[in-house]
Amino acid sequence: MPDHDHQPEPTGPQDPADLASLYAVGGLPPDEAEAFERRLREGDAACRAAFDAVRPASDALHRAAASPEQPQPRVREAMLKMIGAGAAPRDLGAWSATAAELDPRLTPRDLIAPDAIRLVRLPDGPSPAVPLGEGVSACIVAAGSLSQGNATLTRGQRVEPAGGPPTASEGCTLLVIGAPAAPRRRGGGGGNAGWLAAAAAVVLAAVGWWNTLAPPTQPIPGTLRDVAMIEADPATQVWPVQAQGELATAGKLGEFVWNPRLQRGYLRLTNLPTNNPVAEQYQGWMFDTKRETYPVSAGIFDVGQTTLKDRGGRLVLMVQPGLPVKDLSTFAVTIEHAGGVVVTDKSRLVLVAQKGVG
Amino acid sequence: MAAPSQFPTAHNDDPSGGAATLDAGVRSLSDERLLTLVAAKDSDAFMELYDRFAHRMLGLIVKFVRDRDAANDVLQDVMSEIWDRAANKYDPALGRAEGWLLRLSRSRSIDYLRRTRRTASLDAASEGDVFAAGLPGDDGLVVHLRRGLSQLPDDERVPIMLAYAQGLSRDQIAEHLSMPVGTIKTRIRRGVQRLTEWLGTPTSGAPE
Repeated sequence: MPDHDHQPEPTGPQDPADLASLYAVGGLPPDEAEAFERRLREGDAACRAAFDAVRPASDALHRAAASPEQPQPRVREAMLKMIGAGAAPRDLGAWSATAAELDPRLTPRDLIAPDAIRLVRLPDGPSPAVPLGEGVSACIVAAGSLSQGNATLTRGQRVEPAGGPPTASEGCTLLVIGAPAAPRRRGGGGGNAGWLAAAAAVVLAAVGWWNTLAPPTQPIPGTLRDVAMIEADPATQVWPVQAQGELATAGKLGEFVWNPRLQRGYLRLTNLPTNNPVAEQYQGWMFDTKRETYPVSAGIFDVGQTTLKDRGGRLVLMVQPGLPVKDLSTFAVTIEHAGGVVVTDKSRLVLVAQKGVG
Repeated sequence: MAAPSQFPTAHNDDPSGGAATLDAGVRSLSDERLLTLVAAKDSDAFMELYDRFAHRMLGLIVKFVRDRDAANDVLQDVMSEIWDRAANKYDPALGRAEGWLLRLSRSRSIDYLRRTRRTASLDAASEGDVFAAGLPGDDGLVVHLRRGLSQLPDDERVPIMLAYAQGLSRDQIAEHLSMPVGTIKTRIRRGVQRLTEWLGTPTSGAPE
């Protein structure tokens, strides 16, 4: 073991190294532990450095104590009940129970616009129960096919109640537009119908993209929902992403899509070199004109063989800053050591997207 | 290595090694990204988080609570707290998601013991009880950690174990050991520093 007998005493009651060591072994009173975490979240560089230095010991203590135990089934059941999984969605009209029966995995997260639009995966086979009924204004084939009468409906075609009950479905996912709840938008005009139509078009486009990647055998993933929400919102901005520094020769690499109202966005890039996550990682930064000091970290990320891609092969990397960004002027990506940094020196700035640069 | 929080990542068990298709859904997301989605009330992400970590969290809780029924109650409380509000407090600056979840589990186990006016029944020096067995594949870590702890001087190891295993705060440890608070801080700091350095050494080279 290293010899520390001759090390100097700590320098004060709030010495970050003391705080970090105590935090690492759970020796801080709850209020002080919370204050220390707050300092970490707020980017206190001294605390972060001190914590990083002792994190291996902290993680090892916890991992070593966490020998697996199978939880009792009642705990999982309680969790499912708590989050409302399997429960009928709110305000969806008479067909809501049918929708839940169609796919018990459907949960409120599948709602693109709460209580207005959802995707329903039909079971393959004859006589599928299609959620047409009171409160449903449209039911559109989003993927696969659905037989109705003599017609075979495919993507983009409406299921009309007058056509009679569908007789068979194959890999069919329906886009169902229910009783329109007021969308959470400000200003504008045009009412709900136009918004719903636009959203539906976007969702259909997104579903097409998703369907190209994989058969719709699962509920719509959150990433697709995020992309659909961002693209459906008129406040969304698209900025070109320019490579810099060591990647400068790559030129324009794609787009940064940002929605200030949703505080979400994503990078859509034709390419970004694979990183070795053990050694270094990409880190996103958001420069807020309303924040005078440092840019807000938009998280660290890796690029590898399993990074999400759209059907064009472009990398799709979601962005959701940890702190609110009021007026984004620049989005940047740097390469940092594994785990990222609190404050970047920008020495390895590789991507930049700027507001107003087209 | 800390994993991303706001980005989908390459942390994927997809054996095909191909691009992560979206049908992988939340299963393909990093632990940190899952927590971000849980903070946004994504129920699928929450259940995925539960399935990934509940057994480890419970294993840690049982070590403190020593009663499996009660430990399951604590696990349920912790997971409910994560869903209700705690996930909003997670930030990559607090370390990897797994470490954060286990810290929260330990903290709530200690809270439970205080609420029920009990103390952890572990002997401060018996780290073998706390670190009796690790995850499959973590056996090396457990052995290495235990060796590291056993090689610490008692005046450093005991305060660390009183803090970690019995949930005593710095001031409580000082009172328990009849020592100044400053001395306890110094010893824990030195002990943690030694332990960190020890953990950085190769396990194969660890002395018996």
